[in-house]
Amino acid sequence: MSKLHFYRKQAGLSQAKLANLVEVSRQTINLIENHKYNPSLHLCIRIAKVLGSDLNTLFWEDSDYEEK
Amino acid sequence: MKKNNFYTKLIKRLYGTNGVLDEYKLQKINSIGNVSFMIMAVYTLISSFVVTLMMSWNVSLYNILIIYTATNFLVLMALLAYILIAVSKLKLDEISVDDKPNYKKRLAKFRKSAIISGIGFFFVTRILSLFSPADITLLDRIVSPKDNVIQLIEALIFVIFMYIVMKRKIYQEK
Repeated sequence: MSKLHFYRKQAGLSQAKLANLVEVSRQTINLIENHKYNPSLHLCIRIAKVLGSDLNTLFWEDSDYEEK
Repeated sequence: MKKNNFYTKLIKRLYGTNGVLDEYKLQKINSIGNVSFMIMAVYTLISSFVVTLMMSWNVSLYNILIIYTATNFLVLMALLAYILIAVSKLKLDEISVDDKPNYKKRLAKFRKSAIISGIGFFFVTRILSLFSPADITLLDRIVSPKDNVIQLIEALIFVIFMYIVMKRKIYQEK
């Protein structure tokens, strides 16, 4: 489960509701959660604001950081 | 939400996409459009060269026109098919609904659209069929029960097909 998926569920939002709030399609949220699409920084910021979180918490890949 | 300006509406209509035209959809549409443009550009170059060559060989202008028109039409149909398949494969035409009442509302809207399309289909095919050569008078052809019934059945099949195609685009989040 991706971090975005986890925090979205924690906020009690469906993919469609989150998509509506950040003005994208549900499909885009689904693709981001499944790591099939890299959102723009602008979209990442909008998602973080809606979920009341920050970019690191939602989008930073811990495994990549540990490898470095 | 991106403003529904003329450009956005045109993109949605041409590519058959639904819902918000967000960054992901725009990215994919741009790449589909780029491939289509490249194919058209290469085809136009080659076809123009071939037409010029045929004219220098003194091939009949009528034949050149027929061949050129026919190949243009075929290439255009092939491109439209590519766009349709690419959009469908990437699910850019997906319609997302999050609850049952909205789902039912959408289905009702699709039924209405399919029926209106079917009526339009019936009249267009009926009018086009009147242009084909026949031994009976125009009035007899218009009121012919056999032709009307056949075209009604075709329109009904079209309505069912359109409804099924539209229904497949709906995604209901569970």
